[in-house]
Amino acid sequence: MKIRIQHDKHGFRMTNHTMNKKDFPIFKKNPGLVYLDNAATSLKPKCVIDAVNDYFSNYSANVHRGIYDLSAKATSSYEGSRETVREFINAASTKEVIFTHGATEAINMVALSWGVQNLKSGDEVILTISEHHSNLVPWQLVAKKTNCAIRFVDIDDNGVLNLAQLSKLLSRRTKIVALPHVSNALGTINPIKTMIQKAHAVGIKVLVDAAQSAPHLPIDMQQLDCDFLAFSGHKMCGPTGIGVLYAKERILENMQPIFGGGDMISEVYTTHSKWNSLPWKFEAGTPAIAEAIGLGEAIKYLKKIGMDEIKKHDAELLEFAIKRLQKIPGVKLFGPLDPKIQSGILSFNIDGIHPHDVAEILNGENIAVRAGHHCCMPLMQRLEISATVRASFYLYNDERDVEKLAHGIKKAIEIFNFSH
Amino acid sequence: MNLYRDLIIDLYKNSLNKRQIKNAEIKASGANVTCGDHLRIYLKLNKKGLAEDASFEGDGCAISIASASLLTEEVKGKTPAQVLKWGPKKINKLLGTELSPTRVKCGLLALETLQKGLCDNGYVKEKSTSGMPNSHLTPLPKWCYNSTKIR
Repeated sequence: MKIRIQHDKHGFRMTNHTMNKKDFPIFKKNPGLVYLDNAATSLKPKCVIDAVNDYFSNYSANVHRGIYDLSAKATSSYEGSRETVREFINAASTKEVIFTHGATEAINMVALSWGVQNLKSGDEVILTISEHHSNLVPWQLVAKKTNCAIRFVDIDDNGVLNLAQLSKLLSRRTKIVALPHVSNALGTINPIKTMIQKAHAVGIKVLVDAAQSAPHLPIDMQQLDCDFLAFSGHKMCGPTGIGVLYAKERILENMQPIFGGGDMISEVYTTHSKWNSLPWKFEAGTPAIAEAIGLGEAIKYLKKIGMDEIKKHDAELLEFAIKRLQKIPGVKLFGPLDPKIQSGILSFNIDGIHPHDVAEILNGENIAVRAGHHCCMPLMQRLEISATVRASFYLYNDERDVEKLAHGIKKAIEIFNFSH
Repeated sequence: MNLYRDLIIDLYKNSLNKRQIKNAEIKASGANVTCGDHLRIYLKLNKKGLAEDASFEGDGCAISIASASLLTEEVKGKTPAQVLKWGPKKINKLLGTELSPTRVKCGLLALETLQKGLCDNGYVKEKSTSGMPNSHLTPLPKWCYNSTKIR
């Protein structure tokens, strides 16, 4: 789909993404909403809501078990979504696509299964200082169990990873490098391809936290070649409660399940059990069927627009936002401030105003942003700040939204200067 | 914007009692980690057991800093038992506004930190409120001292 460029009556550039607002029912009830908290969760298009509804209304049977038609339909929709995900990330096989509750559970599964099996005292896990807590705390849990150590790759003041330091940290002790594709707090797009190559060159496994990249950038497992990849459905127009763990088949074959129960077994005896084949070995119990179907529909929606188009749209909007907010005195922007290496996430602070107060005043203008440490406390400590305000964009945002944000920021500054 | 009245903005920019009390009997730290608010409260009691002086240090939003300013004024001359009876109503009254559910924890940070400090020093709270912050004296993060401004 090519972007049609038009201008609205206020002279702001409109794209077909702008017009995509009509796909999202939330704007019908709240047409003035400026939703800029997409790094936390995205809005849901009607097609996804309809797909979830359709399952619950018309064929809400369990998967993999029933001999009857409804169950067969549920199974084929659920497994169809797995194939949609496989194609989306270009995994070699659906055996490598495990449905989880989200990126957090996916990373925990790797840490608690692969990590506990393969790490021992003296081993090292390399993370980055910009890690979301979901790719840090699971490794701390494993470190407690196995006595392995955790090392951190630092960033510069603009949030760009220190690649030279990664090279230095990689050693015989390193067993895995786990890093975010895109920083959820600063938006930095990390050079993961290079980092994966560096690690693989010395036989070290790599986990990529793609929670912030899968919704915004094209991802190709054959090209990236990472060992593990985790992402959530709800940040990419899908429902909450569904996510994906991708892992290479031969790694999964050797990994022990961490959850036991129905569906993950082939044979059960009083003394032992045999595991089901991949990917079901890692999906104990009734899965999030409706949510998985919804995620499949969300991916179809994104593919219709095109991941390259979304990436381009994010970059253009980010560039516009950087220029617009830089003009406001007292606003300090964080991150690389370069759309080539920054996704549609812009963190900022206003001199003399706490981020929470900024967010509260913006809320009064019907602008939804996030204020806080964004689940990145070590990163905040590294930047020596307590919190930031974060505006994060997606396909339905446009320049008018950024303009309203700039207006809201000016209002916050006015309110806080009022008594002087 | 009802919440950001002149009083609150003014107390945020020109806080009252924002200093250390070295020989304070009660010292307590509290944080709303999700917001990035960090406070340390000091309370000095006189021989009669009345609060003679109170102060705070730290970094936070306008609501938490204004509340800390007002609270450290309000406690002067009061007994620990009186202070331990205060709750959200008191803070709303001091601020002159009804805090929304999302901001109540900002407004209560100073009071709950002080109350926890009192409890840790043997004063008993009659009715315990849940979710009180940990008052153990932890170092304040660097950024609390970084700026000559309030934040």
